[in-house]
Amino acid sequence: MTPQEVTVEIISILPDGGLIPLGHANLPATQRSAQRQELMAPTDRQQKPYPTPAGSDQSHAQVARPSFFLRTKLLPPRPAPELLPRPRLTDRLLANLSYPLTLVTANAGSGKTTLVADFLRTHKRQFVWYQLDHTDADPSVFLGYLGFGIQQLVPGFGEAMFSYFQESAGELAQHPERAVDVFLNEVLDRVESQLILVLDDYHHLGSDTGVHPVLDRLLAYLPDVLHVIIISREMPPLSLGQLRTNSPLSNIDRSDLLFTDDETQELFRKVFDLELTSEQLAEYRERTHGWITALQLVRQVAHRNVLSSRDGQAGVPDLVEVLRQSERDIFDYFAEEVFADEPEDVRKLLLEVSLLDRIELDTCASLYPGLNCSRVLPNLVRRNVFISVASDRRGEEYRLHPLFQSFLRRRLRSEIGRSGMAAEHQRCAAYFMGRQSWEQAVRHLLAAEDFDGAARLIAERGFDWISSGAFGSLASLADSLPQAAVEAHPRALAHRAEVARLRGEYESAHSLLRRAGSLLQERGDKEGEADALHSLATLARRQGDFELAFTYLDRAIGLSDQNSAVRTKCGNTRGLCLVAMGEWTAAEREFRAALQSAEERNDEHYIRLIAHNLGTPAGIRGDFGEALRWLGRMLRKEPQGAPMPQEAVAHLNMARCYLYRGDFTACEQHLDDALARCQLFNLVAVRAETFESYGNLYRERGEIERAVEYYERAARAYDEAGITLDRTEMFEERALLALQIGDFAVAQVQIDKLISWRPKEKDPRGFFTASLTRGRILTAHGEYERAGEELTRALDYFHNHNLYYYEAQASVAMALCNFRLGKEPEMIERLKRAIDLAARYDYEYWLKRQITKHPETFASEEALELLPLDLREQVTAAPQLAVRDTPIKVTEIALTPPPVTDLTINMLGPVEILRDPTRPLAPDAWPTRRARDILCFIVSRRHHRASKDTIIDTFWGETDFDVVEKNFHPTVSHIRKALNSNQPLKQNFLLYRDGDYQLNSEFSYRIDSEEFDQLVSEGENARRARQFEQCIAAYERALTLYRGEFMQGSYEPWVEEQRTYYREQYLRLLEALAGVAQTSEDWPRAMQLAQLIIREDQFREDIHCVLIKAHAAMGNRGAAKEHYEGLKRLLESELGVEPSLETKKLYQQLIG
Amino acid sequence: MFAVVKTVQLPRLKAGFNRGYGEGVAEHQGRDFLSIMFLIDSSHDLVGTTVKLITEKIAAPVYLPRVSRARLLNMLDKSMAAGTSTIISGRAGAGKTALAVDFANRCGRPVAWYKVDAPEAEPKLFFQYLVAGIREQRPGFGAKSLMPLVGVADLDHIAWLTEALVYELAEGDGAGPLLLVIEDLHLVSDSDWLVPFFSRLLPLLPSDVHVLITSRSLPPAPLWRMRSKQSLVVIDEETLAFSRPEAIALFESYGLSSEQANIALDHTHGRASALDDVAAFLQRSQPGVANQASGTKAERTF
Repeated sequence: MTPQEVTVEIISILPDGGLIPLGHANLPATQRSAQRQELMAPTDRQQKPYPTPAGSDQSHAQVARPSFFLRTKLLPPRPAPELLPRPRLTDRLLANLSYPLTLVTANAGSGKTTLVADFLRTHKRQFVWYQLDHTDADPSVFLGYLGFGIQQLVPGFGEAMFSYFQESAGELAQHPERAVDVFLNEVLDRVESQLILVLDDYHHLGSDTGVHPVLDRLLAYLPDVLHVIIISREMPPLSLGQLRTNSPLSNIDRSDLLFTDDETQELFRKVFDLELTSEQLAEYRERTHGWITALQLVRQVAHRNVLSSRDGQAGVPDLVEVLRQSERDIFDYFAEEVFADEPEDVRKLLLEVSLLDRIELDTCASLYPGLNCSRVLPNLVRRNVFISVASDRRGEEYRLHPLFQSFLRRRLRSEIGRSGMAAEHQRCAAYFMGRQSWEQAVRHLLAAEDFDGAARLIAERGFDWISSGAFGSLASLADSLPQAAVEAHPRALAHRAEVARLRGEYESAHSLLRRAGSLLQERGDKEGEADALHSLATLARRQGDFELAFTYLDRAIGLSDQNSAVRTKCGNTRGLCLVAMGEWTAAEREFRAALQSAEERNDEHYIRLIAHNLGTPAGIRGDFGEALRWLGRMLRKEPQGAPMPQEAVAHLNMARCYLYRGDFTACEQHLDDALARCQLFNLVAVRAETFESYGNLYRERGEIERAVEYYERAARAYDEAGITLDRTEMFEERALLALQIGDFAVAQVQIDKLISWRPKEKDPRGFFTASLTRGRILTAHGEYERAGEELTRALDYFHNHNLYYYEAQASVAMALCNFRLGKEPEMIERLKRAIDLAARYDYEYWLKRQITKHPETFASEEALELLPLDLREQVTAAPQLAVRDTPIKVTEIALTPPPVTDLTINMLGPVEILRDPTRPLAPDAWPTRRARDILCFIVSRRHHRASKDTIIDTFWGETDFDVVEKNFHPTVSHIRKALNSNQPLKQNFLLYRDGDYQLNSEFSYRIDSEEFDQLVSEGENARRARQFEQCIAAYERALTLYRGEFMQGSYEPWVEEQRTYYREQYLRLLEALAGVAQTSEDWPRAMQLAQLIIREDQFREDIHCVLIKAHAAMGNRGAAKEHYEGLKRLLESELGVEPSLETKKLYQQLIG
Repeated sequence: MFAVVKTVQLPRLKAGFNRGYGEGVAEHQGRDFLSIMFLIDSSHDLVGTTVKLITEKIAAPVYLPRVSRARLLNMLDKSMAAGTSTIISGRAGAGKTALAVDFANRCGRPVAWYKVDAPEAEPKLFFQYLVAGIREQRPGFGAKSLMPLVGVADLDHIAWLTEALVYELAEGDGAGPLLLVIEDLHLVSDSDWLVPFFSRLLPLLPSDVHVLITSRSLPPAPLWRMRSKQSLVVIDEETLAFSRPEAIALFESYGLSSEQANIALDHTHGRASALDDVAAFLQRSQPGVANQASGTKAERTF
């Protein structure tokens, strides 16, 4: 077969840049042919998705990571100056680390944060501390911070994930869980030692947020190197039941956190330096129930009273009365005391900063220049006045005790009134606008009830805002504004519509855009209107209404400036529509113009995507050289840049072009690259297409079995992506494979099925390509008349639609048909066209293949003359085969898929670990023997599962706990990496679930020891059923698996145990088979088997007897005698005994 | 030679890029644009839009081939002197573009260049580029008489349009000697208008305007049969193939021996790109001498 049959595949990429395949499952068939080509629509935003806030930590804003992250959100709290160690609780946290999750839930002021922070510090664990607030409710923001936090510990982490956020906004909006998979892949790939993720104040996210499902998925698949600690005031609405088992220790709640009597006593003794009497202790317990905040308050007030009584003032409060009230009232009571005690300027400062969600020194310094925050705040922290500080080397943030903050805000309001509050919020808003913290600014504007200002801000800054991935917060804030305010700023409406579009809420997006468009028109905002019109056009394109799309685009272009970004976007969208309509050349023209416009504006992001799109019509036409030229521009020039999801598609398309041109090496390389991107970004549909292309490559190279295997992988991947096979090319490709190996019946069935699914009217291109294949199958079958009819129609279609590659193929197929029918002039006419097209579009590889396959067609003088000289030589050199009317049927190769094996592990003999037989793991895949042995250990256990503790006991034994902790996770990570070394398809074979490591049951394995056991038991069952032939066959097959002793070369105790077992089994089989051979008097075989046994155990007298018998039976008395003497000597010298009575008797009988 | 100087101002390929074959054009360096307004139009997608032409397509490439091939240049010289047109035809990598560029640099006439792409199967677009290409040498070419006609270019008006073009070439402002190179004509050679256009154009061309076409396949039969009427010279792939002395000269430019050239020639059937690949490969595998040799050669050619 020639590669031409490999049809160009479709996956389309949505205008928002989301990589959702539209080719197959979710589109009407009319559009399908056009989508058989992969296109890219760039995200409708600038290439810089994460605006750099002015005045933020610029010096650290490195290239690789987005810089909008507020470092302060990731600051761990600093230890309180007075802290009581609580081993009772920290030990529980430690014990729970081998489970995925620990929850710490209790109401405000219970000491949750203090406990976890103290635990992390005293146990010196690596951790990411993520201080959540309501702005973190967007999944991309949430995952972004987690990734950014890990990046601080694991350099380079997050590269793929951030790129994914940037390029796949639509997918992120609609399926945030998929981003989790990308995140987890990176964790598996890069994180080698255990990390704890602390999510502090998780309750701030509220209940209605996409973060919960994201976290659910994260926890369900959490790799062993991560542990999550959630700190929250209430139980988070997570599906914790799904975590298969949860340790009973995993939730630390309020009752656990309350101070016990002992702890209270300790607290007062050690921290407050007060010795409590047992009466006092009893009183405090009764009053505070161990609530730490109350204990602290009591202590603070007590302390102050001591001071004031020294000053001679009276007024000891009636604690008993106070503590009877609600916690908030208790707090207010004490807070009043504490607050009143501070000097005037400190009171003012506390009231002011209570308005801020996050208190940073530079914020305070700008907002309250007169208040000397940088001196006062640290001082308050030192005195533990309900304010704490979080910091690392690079920054710090102050955090008010939540109850204290609420107290201060209430107090501020009562002091300055509603209008005063509004003015303060306005001031804050102005400050955050200056820092480009739009979201904070809008929140303050809302608090100030300045709805118009909020709408204006969204209108002006919505673009950057969406680009930062926080579309959820934009939508919810926009929705909270009064309708009139938004309509006064129609661009805000347009941004709100954009969020709807990204989320896949097309109807709502459409009506919002219409409204925004007409309001923008009223206002004469041309650029804004053009943008809205373009968005409407992309919606129309998605619905297949291209005429409408063109109308919008024309209007948009009419409104926009010559060199605006809208022009570029419109050009690209128009090109996408034209491709979908089958107007390749017009599409090419549009893309080319759009590319010019992008180049003029130096918009690298669009340049890459449009260049790729420009390559696709060329590819469809069949000009692969041209296609490659443009497709290649999609790829990064510098290899160290961050990968993009769209590159998967570019690599795949390039691989196809190379396949058509016969450059298999380049094809395979690009497929490998495509697959790597699919894995990285979790692109299921593209992965299926990639597997299919691997199948085509192997078919083309004549590696039939691998082709079959990869088609099977493709079929599974399509299934996983929810794409039914009738919407793919799989049937056609499989038909071609069947044709290639001469299995015409199968080929015919497959292609007929496909044609019945593809009505000509709806998908003419798909119909006629399938028809071409059917024509060839019919020709091969000898049905030339029918083939001729079929091919003529296809040929006409291809010719009229400028599908040159197909036309060339159909021409040769037709020529062959004409040749068989004896129509020489027609044949020459077809050949002429085919050869001409081959010259024009450089189908040299294809033409050569045709010549090799059908030399007879090219052999006539007239045909030869059409060929260039070098190819002419090829015809004359080719063996002139007899006309094959009856094809040779190759039956040895079954087209039924063999089981796909993902991992082969052979342990009977020297250890062999293999993924793909033709791609061995890297030679240095196993840096340590231990990693490999641990894998074998897990594999050889029941259910391929071993607990972490067992592994540690087996492989580290008595080693120091700290050493184990340091080595364990990196070793496990080595196993995962080794199994993926030198493999384009990265998979996680080793899962960690409920304290156990186990082989991932999603994959299939071949494990020789298991197969061996299986065959032995099969044999035994057959024997019991008296089916001796089957029994012998099973035993014989088992014997072939035993290449030598279990894990040759390893001498660990656990190996010895297994080794003995398999050796015994092996000997038993040998013995049984030797017995059979003896009974059936197959002496040579009996002798062979007996010798194998003796090699394992030379003192087996019974087996020596078999050998003596065999020698004798074969008439070799001399040898029998010699053997007996040898045995005698052996027993004498090694054991000091004589041969047994039976042996002697046997010998007497035989030789006597 | 002033024409050559002019084209140098629009670098299409960076210096040092010396693969002279069709594929090489892929490298896009600095571009600029010129816009032409459509005056009349019947087709929906071009109404009223300003179509940007890609100047890269109408700028003559400026790279220099490794070796000049006197044998072929002579043929072209003769053809030009005889007032006929020329087609250079051959498969990818046969050395068509390299020859055309070399000739354009040496012919001593102003050169108008037009690299055809598939979308120009649309005749309006084809004519726009053609006219824009000529304008590079003759500013304002055809502005009055020709452009209004381009807007209605369709099959029925091709003859009319062609005559207007010829008239402008012969009688318009700045008329004079010109070499008009049309590269990669095969990309539009299935178009209906192609035969009527060329079979009208070539016989009517003024004697000082020479049309040089490169194409991977021969244009439709009626055209190339014009060679029997002495109005068209065809340089085909067999003629383009490197002769033994040419191959040796090429290998010399890489610092390689004539034995190596001979072996390579037998393997490659004299196909330019294949020969060049072999030479470049051999040069890489025996560096020292070779680099120096190619350096001096490059200097000489510049």
